[in-house]
Amino acid sequence: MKSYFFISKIRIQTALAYRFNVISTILIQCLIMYAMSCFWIAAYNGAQTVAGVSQRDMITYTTISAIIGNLLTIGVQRRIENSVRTGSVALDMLKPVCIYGIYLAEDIGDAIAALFQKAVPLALVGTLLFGVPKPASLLHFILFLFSFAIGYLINWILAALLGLCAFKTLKLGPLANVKGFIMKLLSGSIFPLWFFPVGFRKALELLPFMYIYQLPLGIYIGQYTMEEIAFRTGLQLFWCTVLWLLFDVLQKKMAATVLIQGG
Amino acid sequence: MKTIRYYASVAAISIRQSIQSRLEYPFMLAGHVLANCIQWVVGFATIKFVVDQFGSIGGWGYESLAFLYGMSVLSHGLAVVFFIQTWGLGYWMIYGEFDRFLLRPMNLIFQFLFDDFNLIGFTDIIPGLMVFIYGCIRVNLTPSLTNILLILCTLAGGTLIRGAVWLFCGSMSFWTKSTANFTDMVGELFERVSMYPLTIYPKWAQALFTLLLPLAWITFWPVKDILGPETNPIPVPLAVITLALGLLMFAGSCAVFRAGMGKYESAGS
Repeated sequence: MKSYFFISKIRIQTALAYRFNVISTILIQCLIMYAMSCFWIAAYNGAQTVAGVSQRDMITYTTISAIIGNLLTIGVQRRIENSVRTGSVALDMLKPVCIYGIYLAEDIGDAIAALFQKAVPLALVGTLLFGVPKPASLLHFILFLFSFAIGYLINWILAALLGLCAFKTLKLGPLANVKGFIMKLLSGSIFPLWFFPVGFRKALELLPFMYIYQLPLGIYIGQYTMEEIAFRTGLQLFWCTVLWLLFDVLQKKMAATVLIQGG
Repeated sequence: MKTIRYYASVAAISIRQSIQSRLEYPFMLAGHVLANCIQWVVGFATIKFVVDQFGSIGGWGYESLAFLYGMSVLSHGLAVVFFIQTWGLGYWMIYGEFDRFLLRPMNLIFQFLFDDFNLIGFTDIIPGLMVFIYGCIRVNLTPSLTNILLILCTLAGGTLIRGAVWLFCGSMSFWTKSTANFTDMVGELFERVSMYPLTIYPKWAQALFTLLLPLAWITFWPVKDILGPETNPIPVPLAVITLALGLLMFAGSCAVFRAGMGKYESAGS
């Protein structure tokens, strides 16, 4: 465990070294957050609630979505792709630790750095512009943290599963874009699913993407009842387990077929 | 005349080579078509669903939004086809890539702009056309010669404005000596200002994007004019202003690029 903590620490230190990267990311995120809040204010146009959600809640949703978006930025797929392409995956496999443990520790390190470098400044800007993005209650906040943690794992496993494709294809190319766009549009990160037509929403609820953004954010603003939270968090845990099992089977298969090139 | 013919032949060869190199990976191309269709068509569909719930956004119904969105994706695609090399200008500078250009007896900006013709940009144009045609049908746009000319002016102007901003940001590397890339930041800005109606923003932001940082001219003002010419307070169609602004801004960015080349130190090895 100590070695994984060390890897996370190194990643935090590396992240701290790139000042320009941090400043530009915060600027982009503030811009998106502000633009989306303007979008919702224009859309509501004075209406109290639409689809059972108030304007205030939608702005909180947008702010928290921008904040957790920074923590959900995962590097594992690119990491696997690069390791396979350059052949350094062989060195990673020689180390006396689980390589996917290393990759997860790296991403957690990045997320911790992003929490202080990006999430906190964004929360401050969001508060200054639109007031404190308060959760529905303390209990909702605790449930949100739990749901977000599982959502993080689902997001990580999905990225790692995509990364595994690199063992076969060597390059991910537009595949990574496809996943990125699906994640952006269908996870509720920009537009919550409750504004979508029923059929489309039901179809999306069968997929794991909404459990990454929509469920934790919906819990945060109090959009779900306690029964719904229990049921949906159960589904979220189910997806996390299924995806992890799939990942475990596939990663063993890929390790057996690994082609070491580069050097 | 001879010079123009010479330049045209070099441009044609360069474009042909770029296309051939991209066609080498047909699966990659197909993947980009899929990725961009998801990005733009699904992207628009989600906006439509939301607008259906609310009725309109900033006074715009989803029919006009489809037209606006389609125009924006089209000019984005065209800009990606012609100006993608500006994204990595910092790397060109750091690795001394301009050396080979400086050795050739041809105009530097011409060489830089025609070095790459990005076929993959057309994968943005396909979904862009889909949403655009859908928008044209929904707003009942008359396919008159005037409208076609105004749309072409807007697309040319919008593409040039995007290219000008990219070239300007890329040229900053000559002074900062860094490969820092503003593409993401600028991309988000373009998306927020050209795909959503400007009327959703407060007055100060509307003034900023109209006068100081004229990104609202990429689509918003000309599209508003095409859809409702009676609201235009000036006698000139706004699409013409977009084209003029595009040319002006691009010329300005070329001047900045030329000035930046004066600082070029051929740092590569």
